[in-house]
Amino acid sequence: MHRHSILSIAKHALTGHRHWPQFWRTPAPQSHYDVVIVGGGGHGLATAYYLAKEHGICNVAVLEKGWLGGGNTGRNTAIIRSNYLNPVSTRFYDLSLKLYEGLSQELNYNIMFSQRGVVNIAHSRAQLRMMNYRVNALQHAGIEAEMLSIEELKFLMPLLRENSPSGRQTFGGFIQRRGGTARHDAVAWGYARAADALGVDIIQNCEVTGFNQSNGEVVGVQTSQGEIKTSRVGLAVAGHSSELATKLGFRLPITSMALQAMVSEPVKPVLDVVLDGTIYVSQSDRGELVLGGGTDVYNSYAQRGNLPRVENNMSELLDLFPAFSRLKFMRQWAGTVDTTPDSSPIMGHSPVEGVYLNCGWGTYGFKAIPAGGLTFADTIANGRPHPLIDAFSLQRFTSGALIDEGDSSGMDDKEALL
Amino acid sequence: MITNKARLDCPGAIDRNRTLRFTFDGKKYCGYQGDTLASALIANDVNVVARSFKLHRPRGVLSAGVEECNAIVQVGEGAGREVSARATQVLLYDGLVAESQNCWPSAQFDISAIYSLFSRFLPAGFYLKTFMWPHWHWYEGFIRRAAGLGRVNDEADPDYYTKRFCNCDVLVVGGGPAGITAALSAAHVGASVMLLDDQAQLGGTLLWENESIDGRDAKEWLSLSLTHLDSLENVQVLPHTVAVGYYDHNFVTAVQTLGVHHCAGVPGNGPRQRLLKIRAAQVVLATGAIERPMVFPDNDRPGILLASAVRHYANRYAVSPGKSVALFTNNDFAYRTALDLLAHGVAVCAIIDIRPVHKSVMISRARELGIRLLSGYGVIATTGRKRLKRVQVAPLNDTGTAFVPGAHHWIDCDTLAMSGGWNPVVHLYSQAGGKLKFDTEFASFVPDQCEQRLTSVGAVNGSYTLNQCLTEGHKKGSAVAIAAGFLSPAVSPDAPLSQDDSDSHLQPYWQTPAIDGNSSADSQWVDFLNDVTVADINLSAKEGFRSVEHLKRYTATGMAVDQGKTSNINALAVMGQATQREVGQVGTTRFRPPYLPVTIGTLAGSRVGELSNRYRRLPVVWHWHNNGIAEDHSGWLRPAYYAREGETEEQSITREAMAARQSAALFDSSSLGKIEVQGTDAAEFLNRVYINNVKTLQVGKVRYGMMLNDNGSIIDDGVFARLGHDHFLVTTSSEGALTIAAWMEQRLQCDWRDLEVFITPVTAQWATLTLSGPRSRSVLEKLGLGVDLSTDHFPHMSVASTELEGISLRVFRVSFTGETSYELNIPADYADSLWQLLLKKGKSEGITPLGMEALNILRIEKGFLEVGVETSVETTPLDVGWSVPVSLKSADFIGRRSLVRSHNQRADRLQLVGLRPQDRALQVPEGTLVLNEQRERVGHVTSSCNSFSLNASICMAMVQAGESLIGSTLVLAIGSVDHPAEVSSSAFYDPKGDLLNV
Amino acid sequence: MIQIDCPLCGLRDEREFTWGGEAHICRPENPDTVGDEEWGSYLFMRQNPRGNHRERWCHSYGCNQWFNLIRDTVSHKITSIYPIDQLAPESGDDNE
Repeated sequence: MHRHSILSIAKHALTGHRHWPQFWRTPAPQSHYDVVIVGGGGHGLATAYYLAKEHGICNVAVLEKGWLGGGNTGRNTAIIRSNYLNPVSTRFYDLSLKLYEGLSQELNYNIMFSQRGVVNIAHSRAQLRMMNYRVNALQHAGIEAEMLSIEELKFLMPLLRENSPSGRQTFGGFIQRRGGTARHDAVAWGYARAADALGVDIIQNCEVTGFNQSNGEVVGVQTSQGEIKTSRVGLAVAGHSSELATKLGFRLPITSMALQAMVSEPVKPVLDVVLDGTIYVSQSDRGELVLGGGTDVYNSYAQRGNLPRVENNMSELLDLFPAFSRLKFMRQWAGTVDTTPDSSPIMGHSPVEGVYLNCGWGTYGFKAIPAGGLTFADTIANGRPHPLIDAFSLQRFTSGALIDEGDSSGMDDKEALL
Repeated sequence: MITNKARLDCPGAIDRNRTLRFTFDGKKYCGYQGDTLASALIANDVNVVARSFKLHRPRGVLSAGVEECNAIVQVGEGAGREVSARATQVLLYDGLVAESQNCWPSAQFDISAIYSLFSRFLPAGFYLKTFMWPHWHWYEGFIRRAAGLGRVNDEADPDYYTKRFCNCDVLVVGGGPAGITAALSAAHVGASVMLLDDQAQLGGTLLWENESIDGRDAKEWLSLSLTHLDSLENVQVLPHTVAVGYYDHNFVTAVQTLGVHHCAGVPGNGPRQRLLKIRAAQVVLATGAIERPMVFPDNDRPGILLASAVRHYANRYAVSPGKSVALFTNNDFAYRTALDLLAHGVAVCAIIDIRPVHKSVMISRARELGIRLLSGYGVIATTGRKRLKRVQVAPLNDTGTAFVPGAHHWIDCDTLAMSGGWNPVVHLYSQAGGKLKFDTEFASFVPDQCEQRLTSVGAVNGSYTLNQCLTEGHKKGSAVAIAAGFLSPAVSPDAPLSQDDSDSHLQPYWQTPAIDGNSSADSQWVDFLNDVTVADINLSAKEGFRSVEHLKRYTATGMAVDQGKTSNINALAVMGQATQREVGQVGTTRFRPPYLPVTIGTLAGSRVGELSNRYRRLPVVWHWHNNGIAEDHSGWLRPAYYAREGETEEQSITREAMAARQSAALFDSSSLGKIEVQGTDAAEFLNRVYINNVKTLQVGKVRYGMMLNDNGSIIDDGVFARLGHDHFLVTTSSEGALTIAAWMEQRLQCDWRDLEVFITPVTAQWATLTLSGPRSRSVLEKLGLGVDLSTDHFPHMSVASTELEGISLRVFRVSFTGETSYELNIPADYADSLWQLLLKKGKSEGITPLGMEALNILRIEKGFLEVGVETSVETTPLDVGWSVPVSLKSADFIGRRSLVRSHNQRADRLQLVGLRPQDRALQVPEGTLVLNEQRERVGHVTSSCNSFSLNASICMAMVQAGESLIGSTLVLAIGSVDHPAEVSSSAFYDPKGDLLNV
Repeated sequence: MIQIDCPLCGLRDEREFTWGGEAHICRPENPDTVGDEEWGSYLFMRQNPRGNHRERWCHSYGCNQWFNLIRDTVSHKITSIYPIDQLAPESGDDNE
């Protein structure tokens, strides 16, 4: 793999940038692979990379229906944090955060992981109590997190209005300083480049149209570029999970919803932390405010946003930061998130032998990419769930052992219950 | 005296009798009424008005329209300042103050221009390949400060914004010739029509092109047509209104500018902008087209403008961007610029046309006028740092793919007008879900097909001649009106006609070939604002970023404030050439709303501040006049406590709680959810909904119950009363007030349609005031309700209906405090009066208003759970000590099946218990972790207080296998100190409930 | 912003309605007799199709009536609206 560095840029600059190598090959699919990963987003590419790197399984294909990184990886607001409540979740997401911390070096590609801190604000005593619980739980698990006073919140966000005429008040908050944002595309590209260098075939514009099964085991996949034989298939296809499950003959506890994001025009720095909550907002290095909120209110694969959510988000934003009123919002878009009843992912065995699931991330997929890839690769390589993801099995919807993280998603628990 | 050096003699559409003063970058200038900031800057010979985003290259005005990507400035002062306004869209007013962005100290002289020297080392995506040693954080701060354009105000917005819902049969977007004829013809059929145009004046190109319609000056036709439209009752014409979003089912959003000044509202405290939410039966898109720049070396210098813009400035604003203008084109349309300039007396030094010599009307006219015509030539270099000085031209070979060596020469000129053809404004069409196709004749993407009820007319279709626009508008306007349900009229007027039917003979020219073997790709700008060059796109292709989305993301082309209105198609074409594909095969990225950036305040509208309706409010307003401290509790603003001078918050809370234990307290529980359940099957229905047995409840009695979802989790709790055999009143938590009623209604309508039950949510209709404490009965008796309140006649868990001065009143004897309590339900309008009456009557008994915080202490002392505090989404009744219903209740209820799953029967589940810290004065923050001896996390404190009644610190906690641990000792981890606490039942105060039956 | 033709009130904006998820999910007649798997399937498993989806809606800020409809989850086009207690019309129902 071509090593990136300031020197390499300088060298290429002197030759007019004519000799940069390709980031990845564009191979035609072979007739057989040891492992086929369906989905060329962050999770699929990371899985392929770790299969090759950690398990020496290099005869791997990543099949991508469109362009790699084009699903939720390239559509999300790129927040990375591990401030969850359940020990199962905290362990998993913190592994992910740790991997993110070393990822630029690991992949020799700057994913621009900016650990500027993720802040949540309590607007009621009840929220403050819940945050105190979260912080205690995180600290006990050895994960840095701390409560913030109103003064500290004001220091971190000078434009924040602590008490609004709407009645909203500020009681305090908490921060995970290691949390932050990364450049979403770079994560996909970095993994793709590194996986490709290890021999993984990344095949874009290759849609999976069906599966070949024999005695309840998978033996191959049918694609728009022909049939491929394989005995191990990993599905990492946010926004298409239910569709592929249907092709395989089972159903999933997933509802696909449109999740919107929007950006403002770029301005000089006004917000140096990531604010999480019913809306989440951060300022990109380019200067745009990047904003998101809850999902739209009915299931959809449309990948386009609706107006009511934008209106809600902007109203929320101005309640917190009235100074942004005259700023202009520049673009809105949407991704399709696969939500589960407990806001935790589904990973591990599927009802079909040889087919493994990596889905149901809801709004948490991006931050989970490195750990998702690492544990999923281990699961596929060894034919059993990695211990960190054992609890995320599909089986939990039969046993009732749900891992509720609705409260960590900013979504309304009460609604989720009914 | 006004000195507009670049002003022409022709009249234009400006009013020279009205001089307007304005300031740009601290210097004072003058313009005229009718100018835009851009035309006024040009009139004053201001060449450099901005700097580019990445390399800080000096930039002048490029266009005259919304597509402007260079002249992006800050307008206004102080709190009224707006960042990133397009100078071409800011109407000049007296006293306007504007300044450049992204530069220091000024656009004219910018320190950061030094980046330009290193541009070679800053190719697309360079930051992804560098800045990682030792860590991105080392570099990020610097990059962040360098990025961003304007500066946000830190003062509150002095203006406000509104919204309006609109409906019409036909919505016409775009008030140019095609849009106006479409509106006229739709209106003629009888449809209600809305005609929007983004500019302050309707007319589109007619405002600045020299055309004729129906044998007269097109401007005259325009004025007659607008007068006609104004006279029609079924037509609304909305100038200065830009359609920005096209959503499902023909829902279009538009932003209407209301203020005359760019940065202010309507004089006299009117709103600044209005968001229109338009639902149209049919939509006609007459959104026109945007001219695209030519791509050639150093094509971004001040003085290089779009050809149409040069014409626009000269004809409409009577300014010429230069004294000696050259034209660089690949089509015939652009020749108009040369002809019009000549007519105004501006020198046109050359027309550089990449096409080989051919015959056309325009070319002959140019020849007749003696213009120097360089057919088959391209521009290969330009000079002039802050203003164009010269362009270098060279002849192309027969195929147009290379330059003939050694034949180049320089032409002196201060302005270059360029035209690479036109890009239809297909943004809304694409947002609507419409598919685009590539039109090879005009080398642009045009609408193909769309499932929504919309049609497109005029230049957006690639119909560039005036005649085509008029004919299409006329034909389709009536067609969509008929499609919207109107009858075809007996007589239709003829379509207006124009002489203009010229062809453009466009020959695509996407970039400039290598010159003498040297590629100049790194100086050919494609995206001006984001500094993306042909070299960047080539690099993108070389590295494998070939998908149009990869291209956009890798090079940032089209992602600047202008969203690529001038650059996108050129970028796609360059990518096509780099990867041997046709432009059509490369495809476009999806066009996203909004078409133009929208003020955030406009999207929030009136839902800001007090009007944002964030919380529900109690019917009693006495609290807010008597030091009640309002706080959000479950979505309601409720008094947390009543502050008193000389008391701390804690003292106030304790005083209130003591009153409830020792005398009498009055609490506003109106947020309590209340649902009337009536009908012959009401008992059966509630029996399925509650885990409790409902059918055995006698009339006049009350019972506490829990509701589960079918996963077995507690969703709500509260008491329910049987008011009659077939009439129940169900109370829910404050949070569940709305959702539980809706949930019940859904069960009845969807799942149990055979049940005869009626659900009426009455939370807002009935207020609830709670009187609690040992003296509460004496207080209530003073009201003379005619109800025997003695425990024998009206014991705990009873209900009675009565009247107070003719007003219905329901009295519930229930208790959330552990003391004798009466909940009084009264129609909400009387709540405040009753509240004050009770305070008056209870004065002698020491009655004290009780806030949420004191109530919380009282309930914790009793160990009463609060749903959502003690319980989570996973908590079942079994976890909080309700093992009875599953085994004993014979009938099925919602959630029952889930409770028997093995997971729900596990011994190590989190269970509700009490904790008594050994340190009786210990303050335990809620959310404190509970650890076992090995310091493993086994639970957490859900509620806690320092109970004055028990003189102890007490906690409610959810602890793994908690019930089995009663009597043992666990650890509370507070800060770095561990505090031992004994596990107990959560009923701390009066555990047997004796006080309830006094 | 889709528009829904409420059977009682006519064409109204989506903001007046509440989405109720997949229609025709049958709660087991006698829950005690079904196994955990079947029960879990009733509780959680969903078709979630790309294309026509049969779903429940309620005109919450209108007549408060529930009804079923078939909506395309990509284009959001509504092809059929029918009473809550009726089976889906044959047309457009390609999910079984």
